[in-house]
Amino acid sequence: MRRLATVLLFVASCLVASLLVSVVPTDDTAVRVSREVGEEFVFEDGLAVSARQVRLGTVLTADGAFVARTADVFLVVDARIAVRGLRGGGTLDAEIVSGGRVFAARSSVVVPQAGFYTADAFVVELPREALVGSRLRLTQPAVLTSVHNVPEYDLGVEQAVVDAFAPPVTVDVPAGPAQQVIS
Amino acid sequence: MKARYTRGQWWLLTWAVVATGFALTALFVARVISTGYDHTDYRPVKAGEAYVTEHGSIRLLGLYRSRSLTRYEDDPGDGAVYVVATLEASIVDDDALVCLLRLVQDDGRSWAASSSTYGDERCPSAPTAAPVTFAAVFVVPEAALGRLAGVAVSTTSTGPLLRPPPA
Repeated sequence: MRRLATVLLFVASCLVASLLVSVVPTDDTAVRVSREVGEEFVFEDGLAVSARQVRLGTVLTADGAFVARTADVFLVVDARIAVRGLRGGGTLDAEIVSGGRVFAARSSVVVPQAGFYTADAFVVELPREALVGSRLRLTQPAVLTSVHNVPEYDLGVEQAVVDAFAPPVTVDVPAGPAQQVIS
Repeated sequence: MKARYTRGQWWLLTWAVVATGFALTALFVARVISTGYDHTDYRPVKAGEAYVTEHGSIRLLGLYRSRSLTRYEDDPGDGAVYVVATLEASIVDDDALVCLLRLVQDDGRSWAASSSTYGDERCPSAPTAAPVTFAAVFVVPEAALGRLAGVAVSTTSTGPLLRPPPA
């Protein structure tokens, strides 16, 4: 009788455990939402991001000041980052996914305070052959990586654009974008 | 003397306890993360009174707004204003985290201080011999001015909320 009760307790505990664990977000529960350049994506906490424009270059400057030069390509995605939720701050991470390879952005972008937006840029250095078909994935740093659904922007870089790209080309990004009130 | 449980029963019991503990922990973590974005359960302190712990105390003396500050060259930007909070803090030991300040609107929207060093004194992070009065500067949208609830002393949205003294 006691053995039966123990086994039943164990089975019940396992069932409860599997049920509860199923509600915890994991990498597999993240939904990568496709977006085109120009479209907006709003994270669950009210952080709204929209990729506005894609630029290519080999010399990177910030407000005209030299930052870096590359033998590959700087892929720059200009974006508008607005905080419509209760609290802003923190950072937004970016990476380029192309042909099964992942390229991290040079740095995270600072998220403005609540009620403000900034016009900033994500900069990723990658080889020329990775440009076509590249997608920009944005994530918010979190304890569990996939709490939010995440946007994946199809950057629409075509072979003709890559063929026409003739270095050296300078791309300029904002050094410290000022936050402005969301109207 | 006969053992109350066999070795196998102990094994099953142990696993049951571990599984339940793990499940409850997972549920707690999931709840904290999923509600963390909009959970605004600040604990208001009586208007003008100090929030006191064994590590120290802090009190909001007043909230003031301005389009410009004499020690700041930058304009806050179109549609934005500076809000200066004057506070008084006493620190007993290094565990008093009084400098983690957020300006809070009545709906829970909040802003981190852009500076807590405005004025002659900065927010104290070490034990103080006497109460220190200092100012913290926030930049907020102008539309928030009529809806400010107070200053929260925490980075989370469950900390104490200091309120200015009654006018």
